[in-house]
Amino acid sequence: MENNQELSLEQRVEQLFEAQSLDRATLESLSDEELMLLFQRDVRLAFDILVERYKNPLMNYIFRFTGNSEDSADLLQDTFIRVYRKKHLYKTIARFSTWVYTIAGNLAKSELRRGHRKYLTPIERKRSDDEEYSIPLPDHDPLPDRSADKNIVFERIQKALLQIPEVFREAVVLRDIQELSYEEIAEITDMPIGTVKSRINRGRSQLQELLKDLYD
Amino acid sequence: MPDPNDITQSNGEEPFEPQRLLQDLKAMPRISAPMDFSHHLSRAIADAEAAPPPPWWKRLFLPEVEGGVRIPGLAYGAVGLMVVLFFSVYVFRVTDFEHDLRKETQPGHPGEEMIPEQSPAYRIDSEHELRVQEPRTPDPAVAPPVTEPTVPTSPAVPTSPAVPTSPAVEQPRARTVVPPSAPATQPRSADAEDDLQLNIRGFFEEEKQSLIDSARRDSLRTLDSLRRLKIEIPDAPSQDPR
Repeated sequence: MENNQELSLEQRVEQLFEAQSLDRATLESLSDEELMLLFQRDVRLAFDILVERYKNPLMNYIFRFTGNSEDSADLLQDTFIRVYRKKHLYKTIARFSTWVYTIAGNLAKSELRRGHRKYLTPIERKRSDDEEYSIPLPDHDPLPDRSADKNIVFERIQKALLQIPEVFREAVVLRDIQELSYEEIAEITDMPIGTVKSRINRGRSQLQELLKDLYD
Repeated sequence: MPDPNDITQSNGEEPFEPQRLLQDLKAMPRISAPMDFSHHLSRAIADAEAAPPPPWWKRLFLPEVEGGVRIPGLAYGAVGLMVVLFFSVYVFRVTDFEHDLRKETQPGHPGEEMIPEQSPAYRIDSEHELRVQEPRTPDPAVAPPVTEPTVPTSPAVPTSPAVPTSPAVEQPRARTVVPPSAPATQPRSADAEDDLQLNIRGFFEEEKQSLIDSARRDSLRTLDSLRRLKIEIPDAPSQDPR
């Protein structure tokens, strides 16, 4: 069954590749796995579309995991460079989303263990008009006071997230912030689903303990 | 949608603490990548492709495998050391220096047919001496399959027990512990019977006194023991055993 699906996926990509109908509109309608197979055939546009699809979710994931916006941008860049250079290692038996999340997670963990990093190709954080770059936070709340309160709450939650162990933080971020399924988290972390659920619950319990005063 | 795996569930009115925490986690603002991220990424990829490949020793000692895991150079060092060790043992076993040395120093090894043998020097005068030199053929190599049957295998020391011969002692008739079959009884002659009776009588005459003394001592010791145990024993009329 799985083999047939893989075969049909390969065949479809092969047909697309041979038909030379690889315009942007066509590629944007393809799945992540199909795009990755096309990228393995050196279709650069497929990679660019994958970057467009995953740059924001991955940025959010890395930032919630590391708590540092500058490092997150560089880790995001490293993640896609790794995808670019290791494209031949991707196999269609895995979902592209779990593969790229695994790479990002491994890089983020390595970064946290190392504690510092040296940037070979740093991202410029100043705009052309010398204005300090800041990560834009969406503001969906019309009331300024309430919005400020919420921002304080989110800051407290982010600090609490950084205080819990890495394994619990990873599980909570993937589940409650990135809203991935348990199966996807199990694939990303290479753990049984039972372990994933346990880690999520323990992470939430520890967060609740740390934020006890906030919810009194 | 309520999650059956969540630790607690809301009762429908006031959000319970974990429920509020979950709501806040889900409502946290989404952080976006920098606006010009794609541009910088393209430039970084171009730089990475244009960069020279790492030196061979770096690639050898730090190969990068899937998932960003690097095998430490120590593993390569250990493998190299093992290879050198095995190779050394192999070379030593193949060359066998010790055997070659022994073969060279012993006469008669294959390829050497004559050994010069010299006599002690006989001094004729202060300037001359005489020495006899004679080539000798070394002994042929020992062929164990041929020589072994010629070696005597009988023990140098007799293995039968050395028992003094005595007419009163039964001598072993064989070297096994298995009793022999029923011994053949031969009728004694009248003279032999008389000699035997005389011998027995003479033996008792010689040993009579010591036997009587020994029996008396045993009886007295037994009586003494019984008296100590306070057992009434009627006095027996004293009899002189003699």
